[in-house]
Amino acid sequence: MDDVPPSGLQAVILANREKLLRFLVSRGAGDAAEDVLQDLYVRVATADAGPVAQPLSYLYRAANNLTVDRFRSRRQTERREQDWSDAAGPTEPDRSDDPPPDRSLVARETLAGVQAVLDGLGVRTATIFRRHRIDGVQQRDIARELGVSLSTVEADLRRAYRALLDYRRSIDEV
Amino acid sequence: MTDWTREMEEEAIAWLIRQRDPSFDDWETFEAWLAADAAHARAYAETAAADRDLDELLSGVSWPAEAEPDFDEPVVPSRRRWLGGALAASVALAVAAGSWLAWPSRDLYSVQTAAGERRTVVLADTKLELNGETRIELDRKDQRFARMEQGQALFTVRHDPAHPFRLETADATLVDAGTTFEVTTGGGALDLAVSEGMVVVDPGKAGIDVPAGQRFTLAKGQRTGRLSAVRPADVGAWRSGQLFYDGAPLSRVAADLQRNLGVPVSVNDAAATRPFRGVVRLDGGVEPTMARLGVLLGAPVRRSGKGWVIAGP
Repeated sequence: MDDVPPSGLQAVILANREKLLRFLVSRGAGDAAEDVLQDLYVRVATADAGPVAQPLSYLYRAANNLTVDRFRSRRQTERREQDWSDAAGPTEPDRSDDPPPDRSLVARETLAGVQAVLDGLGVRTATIFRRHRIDGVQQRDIARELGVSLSTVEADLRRAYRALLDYRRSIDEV
Repeated sequence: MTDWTREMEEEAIAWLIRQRDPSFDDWETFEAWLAADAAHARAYAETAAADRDLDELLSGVSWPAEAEPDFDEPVVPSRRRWLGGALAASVALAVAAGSWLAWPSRDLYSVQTAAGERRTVVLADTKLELNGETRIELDRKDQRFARMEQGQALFTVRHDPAHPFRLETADATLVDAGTTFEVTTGGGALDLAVSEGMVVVDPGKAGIDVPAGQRFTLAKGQRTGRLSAVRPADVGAWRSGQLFYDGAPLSRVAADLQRNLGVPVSVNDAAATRPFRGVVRLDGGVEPTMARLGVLLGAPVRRSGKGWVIAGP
C-alpha cells in the first residue's frame, strides 16, 4: 500500500486482507471497509506494540476497536450538529451563538447517576464488575478470588453492563 | 431509532464481555453472529460505543467499601489535597481500554489527578510524583514503562542498564540513564527537565542525550527540540509550592497555575507567547498567588467567572 517495506503486522494484514475486509463489512463498515483497513495498516507500522503472540487475533481486535472509534466520532459529529441546530437556531453573522450548557454541571449529574446505578447493583456485583472492567482481571480469576462460580461472575457482569448501558442511553434521550 | 431486539442487545453485551478477556480469539464466530442478521451488527455497534463511553463515566465513581482494594494495586494512597483542596474532584483510577495500540501485548491501567491534586505512585525502583491535571498509563506487566498523555510528573528512577525505564509521550520516547527528571506534556508540546543522571530522547533514531542540568523543550508542531540550562534544584519545585521560569511563555505559566491551583487559568492571545522569567510562589492559595503574579508581570490578572485570566501588558 506504500513504498515502505511492510512490517511484520503489515505483512499479516496483506496476507489476510480479504478476511479482515469481510470482518469489517460484517461489522457495518460498508464502503469504508477499505479505508479502515488502510488506517489499520498505517497504524500498525507506527505502533510500538512489542511482540504480538497471535497477530491475526490482534489485528481483528485492533480493527474492531477502530470501528468503534469511527462509529463514536461520527455519532458525536451528528450530535453536535443536532445540538447546534436545536439550541442556537439560525446563526447570525457578527453575533456569537448561545454558549453551550454548563458542562461541569451535566458531568456532575451524570457521575451521580452512574454512582447510583453502581450502588444499586450490590457489593458483589459491583466488585466483580470493577475487577473485570477497571482492573482487567480474567473472569475465572475473579471467580477464584471471590469464591463464586464462573457462571455467577458471568451473570453479574451481564447485569452490571445492562444497568449501566441502560443508564447511558437514558442520558442521551433527555 | 433502534431496530434490534432486547435479546440481540443481550448477545452484544455477552460478546463485549468475552472480548474484554485478553485471550479472546473467537473472532470468526463473532463475525458469523454479525453476518447472521444486519440488526446484530447495529446492536453491537451501538452497545460497543456505549461501553466505550463508560470509560469516562466510570473514572470518577467510588466503589463500595467492601470492594476497596485488598489487592496489589501499586498506588500509594498518599494523595494529599493541596492548597485547601480548591476542587473536590476525586483522584480516579480509570481503565485504558480505548487504547487499541496497547492491546493485548500491554496490560495498561491509568492513574489520573484532577487540577489541584497530587498523587504519588511507587513502582518497582521508580517513584512517580504526579502534579494536578495529569494522566498517566502504567503497565501491570512491565514496571519499567509509562505513557503520559498530558500533565506534569517528576520521575525518580533507579537505573538498570538491562531494563531502562521508558516513558512514552505523544511526541517522543524518553529512556532513563539513572535519573530524576520532570516531564510536562499536553497540547502537542513537551518539556523535559533533568536534575540527576541523564535521559535519552527518542533513542535509536537521532537520540538526544539530556544530562542533568539541561532542559529539552519541543514546541507545538515542531520536529526538533531545543536544549537549555536548568538549575537541578528547580526541577520538581512545584512539590514545594514554587514554580520557576526562565523565559517560558505565559501560556505555560497559565497551564501550570491551573494544574497546581485547581482553578481554570487562561491567558489572552496577545500575551500567550510573552516570555516570563521569575518565581511564582503558590502559598496562601489562589487569590494571593494571582495577586503576586499580577505584581510580577506588571499586567492585570483578573477573575473571570470561576477562573482567572492573565491579560496582556
